[in-house]
Amino acid sequence: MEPQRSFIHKAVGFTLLLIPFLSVSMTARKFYDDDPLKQEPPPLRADKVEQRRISDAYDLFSNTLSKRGERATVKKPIPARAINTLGEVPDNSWFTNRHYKQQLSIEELMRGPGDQNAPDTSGPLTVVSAKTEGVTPGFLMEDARGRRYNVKFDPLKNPEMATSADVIVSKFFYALGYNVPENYIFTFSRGQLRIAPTAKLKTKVGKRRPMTERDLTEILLKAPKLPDGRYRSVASFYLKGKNVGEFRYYGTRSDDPNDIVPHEHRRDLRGLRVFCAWLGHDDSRAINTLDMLVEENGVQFVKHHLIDFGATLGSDSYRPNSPASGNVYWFAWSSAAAEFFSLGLDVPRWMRAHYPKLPAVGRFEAEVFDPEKWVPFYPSPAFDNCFPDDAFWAAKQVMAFSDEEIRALVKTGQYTDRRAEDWIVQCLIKRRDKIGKAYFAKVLPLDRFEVRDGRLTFDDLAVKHKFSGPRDYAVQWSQFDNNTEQKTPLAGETGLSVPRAVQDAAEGEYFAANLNAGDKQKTVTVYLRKMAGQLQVVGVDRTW
Amino acid sequence: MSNRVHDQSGRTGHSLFCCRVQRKGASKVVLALLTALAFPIAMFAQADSRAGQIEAARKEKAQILKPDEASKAERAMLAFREKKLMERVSAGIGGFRLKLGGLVQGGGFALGPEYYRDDLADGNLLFRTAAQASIKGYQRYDLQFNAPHFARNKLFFELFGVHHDYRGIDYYGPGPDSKRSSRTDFRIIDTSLDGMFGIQPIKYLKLGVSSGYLWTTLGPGEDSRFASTDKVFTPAEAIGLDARPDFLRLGTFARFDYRDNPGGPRSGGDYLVQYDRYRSRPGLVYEFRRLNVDLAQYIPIFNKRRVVALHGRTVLTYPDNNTAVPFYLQPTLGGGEDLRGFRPFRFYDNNLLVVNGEYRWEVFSGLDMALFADGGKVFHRHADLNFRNMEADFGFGFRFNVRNNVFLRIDTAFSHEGFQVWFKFNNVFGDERIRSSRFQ
Repeated sequence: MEPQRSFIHKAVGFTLLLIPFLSVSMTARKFYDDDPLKQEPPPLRADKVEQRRISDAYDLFSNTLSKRGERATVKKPIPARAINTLGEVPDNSWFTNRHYKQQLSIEELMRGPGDQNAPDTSGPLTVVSAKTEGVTPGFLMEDARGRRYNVKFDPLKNPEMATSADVIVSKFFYALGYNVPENYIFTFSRGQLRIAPTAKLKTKVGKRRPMTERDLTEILLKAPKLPDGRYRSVASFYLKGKNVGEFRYYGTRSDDPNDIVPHEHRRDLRGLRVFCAWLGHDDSRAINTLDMLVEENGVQFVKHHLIDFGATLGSDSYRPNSPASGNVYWFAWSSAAAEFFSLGLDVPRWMRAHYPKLPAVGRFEAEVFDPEKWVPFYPSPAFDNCFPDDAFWAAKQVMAFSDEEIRALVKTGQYTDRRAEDWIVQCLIKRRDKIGKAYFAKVLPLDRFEVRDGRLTFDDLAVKHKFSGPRDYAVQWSQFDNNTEQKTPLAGETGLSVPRAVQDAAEGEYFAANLNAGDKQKTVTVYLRKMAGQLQVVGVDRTW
Repeated sequence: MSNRVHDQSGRTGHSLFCCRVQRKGASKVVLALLTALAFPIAMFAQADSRAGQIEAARKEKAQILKPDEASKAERAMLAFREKKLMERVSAGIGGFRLKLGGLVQGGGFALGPEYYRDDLADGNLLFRTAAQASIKGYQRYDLQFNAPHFARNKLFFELFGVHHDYRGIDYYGPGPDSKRSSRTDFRIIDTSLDGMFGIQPIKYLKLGVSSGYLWTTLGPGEDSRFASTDKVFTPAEAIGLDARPDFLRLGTFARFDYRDNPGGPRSGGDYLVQYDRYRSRPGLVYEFRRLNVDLAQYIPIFNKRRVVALHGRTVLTYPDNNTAVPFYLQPTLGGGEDLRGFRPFRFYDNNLLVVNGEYRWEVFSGLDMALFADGGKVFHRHADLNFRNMEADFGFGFRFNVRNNVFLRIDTAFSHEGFQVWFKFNNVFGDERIRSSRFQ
């Protein structure tokens, strides 16, 4: 025993000796040479990913009754991950920078994820199976070219409501950067449909049986008819790859090697809260997401999608949305207690909201809308972790949509009632502005930093969007040690002009410019690096 | 606060290794420690870039991949949904399922088999039949053919037969002044067969005719706590106690129902006017006409998160040829559907007036609460059709709902006769059925 113990002691001692060296080698530099990363490295092969389902009820109750995932608090903030040193989300399997990074043309916006796969009606449309999941009637269809679509309808009392929302919002989310299916407004007549001999229907007790003409008639009876007798639907083009289930708004998939950042800390999911608020997507829960195992460039990996936008823009798919939606969780102790004990005399502002009498709109409005108070149907760990810098990241993307672009996107919903289109457009514009106003006030909203003509330039988004008048900025330049993160102020350098010491810096040197606009709590620190003879913006830190 | 940490990876390696050290013996501590240290060294050695850092973290995770399994609770909930257990219980096996409740108020918890088919005639015809017994020995057997959406929703018809054996229906004596202490009970065994046919000329409006035949037998009540009705009341007081003929009913009705959601209305109204003629068989021992007016109005406030529900009902009976109305066919007041602060069947007489007012507010999307007040009376003379001398109660309630359809209602009501608590699996008001038997 004694020699063994001695060996252990020596080994432990040796190991402890290693620690100082190790700590030096492990000290992460603030910036690497490849910062800021514009794109994540290619994914690893994900060949162990298997399909699994998420229980909607479990997700609802577990998120309602407990706090899932790692929670940030005001006292213990947890910065977002899966971002680069500028605070941007590098292109990855969740998110691809699109409209904010490089403004898309109106045509590109309207095209969305694609416009080449609309159902081909030159031949019969084959119903492959009836849709029994979800609350809206529908079926799975193959077009003349054998391409598959999920076909869904509007509720009888609200023609165009859900189908328009599904198309419009899919295009917004695509432009924002998310992976979404191609959704098409699709009209057809009963005569164009035929039922595949192998078509099955799952009865309400879960038994599969051959689908009959009567079943199809039953489905169509629940769908509004156009004046010419045809049916209007949304045809959602099947996503490429293998369906491996939904993603959660917390944790990671344990079978996916590329899923290394807890979802509640992903900026693209934290910021999604703001996008969902804008578009009235309170149904943004786990079951309305989809992970697909796809192969690109010879590598199989999981691509994460948002799907099913029929319950947006005031629609609840099978009926107009509840006025409570987006304003209170389906259940929360605090609001329930307030209602319970006040005998209903506590009337929140959202209960007084005005909604138009437009069947195609449902309950969507902008006057009462408060982006900071907006909530999804039940708590989402990622949304709960949305901090001012996450919200700023999202808000600047929302503000990037012009009135004209919003109108163009809403047009893709093909409302026949111009008033419905106008209402949605106006609501989106007002809600956009409320988002910008709210979140640009939370941080110093400076963005798109550059060094140009010897000056540090940027967009002050609050000024640009007229939420604030022109303002002055206090600047303090420092030399920055990338290894120790120490800043050494450059005396007397307090303007936006890049100091001579910075311009003449040696290759690989770092500098920091700390800016504020009067409120010293809200600062932005911009990091510059001399590389290849040029000053390059490599990092942005914000305080609030 | 700030966003100064830029952590791409969310590394988990250290905690993982700590776990391994604990599991292995002390002799392997060193190996584990070295491994724990060596791994990050190896990792950082190749992670001299942000991309390398991410790749290293991915490779590290690739070493510990495992199936993304749900917890036991989630698996159970998933199986519950995917196997459609709720639907299977609801739909039964081969059309057979269990039917709970639905007997007369005070009949006790009841259950029994039900055969239910809603897929006949391409879904145009509904057929159901059930047999139920309660813990108090009450029995109910019924059979129904229903075509609610015939001829593209323009026509509807229904055939309904029911047999009851209710062993202890309360009776307190006739009129509004009956004493609470006069509680007796009687047994009623009746069978009725009803047919109804109607048209829906315009949306919301239904017009129809109905007919029914009723066979009735009375017997002594079986609740040992109370005297049997026939021991306390004479046939002169409880008319019909001695003669129990059959009845033929012919009637007509009009219903205008524009409630937004009949399962849990928050706006709209439901108005029913029903006029029936009852004639006893054999011989005209009893002959009377009956007018039933039932009005419910739902006034939404604050985007339907608050609702004022108003309900009024009157039943006026017109005896013909100097005959009377047997007590077991008289309108009654009291119970969970009308005068909620009073026991079921508390008041009997030829005529009835009841008004209800409820203020409901949404506590959360699955629960509404209500404050309510009820007023009502029975009366013998039509001249007493007014709001004077009414019994009153007030109370509060809970309405649990799924997708705005009430599945459980709990009402607590207070009156000068004490308080009552009602557990009902229906929405209050407006489910008046057009049938011959007094007991549904």
